[in-house]
Amino acid sequence: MSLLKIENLKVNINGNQIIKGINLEVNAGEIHAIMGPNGSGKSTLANVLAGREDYIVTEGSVTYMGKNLFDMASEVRAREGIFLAFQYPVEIPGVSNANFMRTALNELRKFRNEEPLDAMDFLQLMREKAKLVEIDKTFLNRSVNEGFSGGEKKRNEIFQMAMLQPKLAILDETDSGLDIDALKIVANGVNKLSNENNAFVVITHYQRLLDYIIPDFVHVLYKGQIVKSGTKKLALELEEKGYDWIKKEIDM
Amino acid sequence: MAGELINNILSNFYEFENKLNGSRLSAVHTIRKDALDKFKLIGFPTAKNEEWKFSNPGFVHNHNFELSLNGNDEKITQEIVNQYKFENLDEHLLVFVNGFYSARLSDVKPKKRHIIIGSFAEAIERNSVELLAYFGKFADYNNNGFSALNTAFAQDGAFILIPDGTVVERPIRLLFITDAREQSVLTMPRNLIIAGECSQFKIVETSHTIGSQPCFNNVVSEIVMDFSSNVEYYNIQNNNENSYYVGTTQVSQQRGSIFTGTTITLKGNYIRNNLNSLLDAEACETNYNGLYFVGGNSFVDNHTLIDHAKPNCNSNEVYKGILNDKANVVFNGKIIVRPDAQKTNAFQTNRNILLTDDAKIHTKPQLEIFADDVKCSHGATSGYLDRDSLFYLRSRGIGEEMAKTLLLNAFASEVLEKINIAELRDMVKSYIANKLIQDDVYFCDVLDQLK
Ligand SMILES: Nc1ncnc2c1ncn2[C@@H]1O[C@H](COP(=O)(O)OP(=O)(O)O)[C@@H](O)[C@H]1O
Ligand SMILES: [Mg+2]
Repeated sequence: MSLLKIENLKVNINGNQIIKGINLEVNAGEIHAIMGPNGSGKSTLANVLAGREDYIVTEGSVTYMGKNLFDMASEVRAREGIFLAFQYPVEIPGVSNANFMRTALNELRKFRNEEPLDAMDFLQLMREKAKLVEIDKTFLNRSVNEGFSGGEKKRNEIFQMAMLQPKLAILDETDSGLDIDALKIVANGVNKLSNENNAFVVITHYQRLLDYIIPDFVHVLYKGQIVKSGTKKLALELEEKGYDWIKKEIDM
Repeated sequence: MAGELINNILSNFYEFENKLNGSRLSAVHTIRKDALDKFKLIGFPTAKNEEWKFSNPGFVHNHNFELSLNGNDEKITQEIVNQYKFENLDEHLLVFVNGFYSARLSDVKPKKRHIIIGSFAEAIERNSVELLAYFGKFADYNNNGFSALNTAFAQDGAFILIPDGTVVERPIRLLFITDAREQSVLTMPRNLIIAGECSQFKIVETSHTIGSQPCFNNVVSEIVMDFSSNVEYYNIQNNNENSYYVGTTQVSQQRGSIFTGTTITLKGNYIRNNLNSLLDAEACETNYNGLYFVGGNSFVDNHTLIDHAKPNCNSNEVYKGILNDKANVVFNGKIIVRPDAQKTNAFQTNRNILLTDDAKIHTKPQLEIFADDVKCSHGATSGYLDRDSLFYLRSRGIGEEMAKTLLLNAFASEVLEKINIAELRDMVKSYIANKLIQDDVYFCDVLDQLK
């Protein structure tokens, strides 16, 4: 089943075209990896899908579960099952992780005409998911990402993903800056969640994450376009030859 | 116009004097007459006065406010009072109608002997030594026409005396009701609060208007704190859109005392708060916390003055504001550190969030430091809600209004957390939530709930 279909997508930021015609189809049960050098537009693509308002779509279409994605506000996309693990998660002083997740989860439940979770059940769920990503219980009391290390922030993204159980999760360089243990925790979080009804788009700069999350497809994004697609083998090739190999091929 | 108002006030004063009968020669009345003379001299401030430059009180000339010279609580029912009570809060309740104490509506719980939680008028009547000692001695009326006028007409208000070594657990609530259903009114409550040595208590002042006629509350409070006393003073302002409020609170602190003043402004047409502390002894602590969350065409001016006159004192001032619609807000925080006041720590911040392009903030920190061995700082910011934070919350399925509410509460939390009365804190929190969201809210922190 097609979850996401991107056709000839073009996106401007501040008048500059950053995404220059992307086509991509993601079906339920699949894991896609998107690789590419810095500045090629990976985060821009991820943010457009999540609904960031200052990114202007100038052409093309995105269909999510048969509906026009651009008809949905950011929060509606989330309630319909889209999740973005941010490359740079923001710190929100004064809002506790617990309050944040409870509000998010209850908004989601309201959207599905379900009763809000009571405080006990909610805490139970939180503890369970916190364990999955191996974050300390005390973090639930702390403000969202405030004073978190880079690795803690990334694990918090995976924790939120585990809480919200999305249909389409986009992970934007969740592996960057992680040591190997943290990397395994993140990968484990993804693998536990992955099933035939959902899909993952894993944006990464390095192939090492793909040793733990095995992608069905690998795409290379360069200068706002997907310039190559293949299987896991493509990632290994990139690792070996570096991005210069692609750059040369394209820029010629 | 101006002349007409002053003439009215003068004839009010003669009427007032006539009904005083024998007591017109009393010491209290001597002060009143002196204050009236000052008022005749200086009148109401205008925008030409530096301290009133951004808060021109021109409204005093544009309305026919009727000053009530007598208390009359007949038209205020128990139901009206009940709606202003905080749920589940056990408090000593003093109710004032148009500035006059209502024994019928008040509810002062059993208390230890020598504690006085009552009215200013009663204290005058029984020739209270403390009232005679302190009335008019702290709130300067030589340079402030509003204070002069209040002093001239000082008749009733709250009189609180907590003796040495006494701790009062229940908050003391001063509930001011202005009845503007039939006519526009001017009220001039006068409060005197005396904290004995090592005494400890909390005061919660709230003012409410019923009816939609314009009304003007001109309030003066004097707070006198003896050695090592600890007073928390909360002022919650939630008047109607047609109300004008000028309040002056003057605090005098003795050695080792701690004063915490919290001013929460939620509604009103024109609100001017003067909050002043004189730290004329060592080892005092002064904390000012402020939160204003206003919209419509509200005008709010918080004018604070912390005067460090002696060494080794600390002051900490945090004012935060959320401005919606066309709200127009002034924050003017003055800190004086006099030459004697070495080893002073004085910190001040004022932060504002503007929810619209039409809202206006004018913030002015004024540090006047004449001692060299001190730590002082101030900071002021104003800006819009952080877009990245908003997007982050929305990307988790949280609707825009709810996301804003979360962020605004987070912004306000620094002040809210310092409210030591849970019922009061919850009231303000849910006020912020309800102002943005009509829907039901899962608002209180889950972890709080489980405690
Ligand atoms: N807010 C912005 N304003 C202007 N240019 C931007 C903005 N965000 C990203 N860009 C530009 O868009 C291009 C792609 O950025 P990005 O999507 O972050 O790349 P990647 O994630 O692949 O490293 C870069 O050239 C970057 O400078
Ligand atoms: Mg990126």
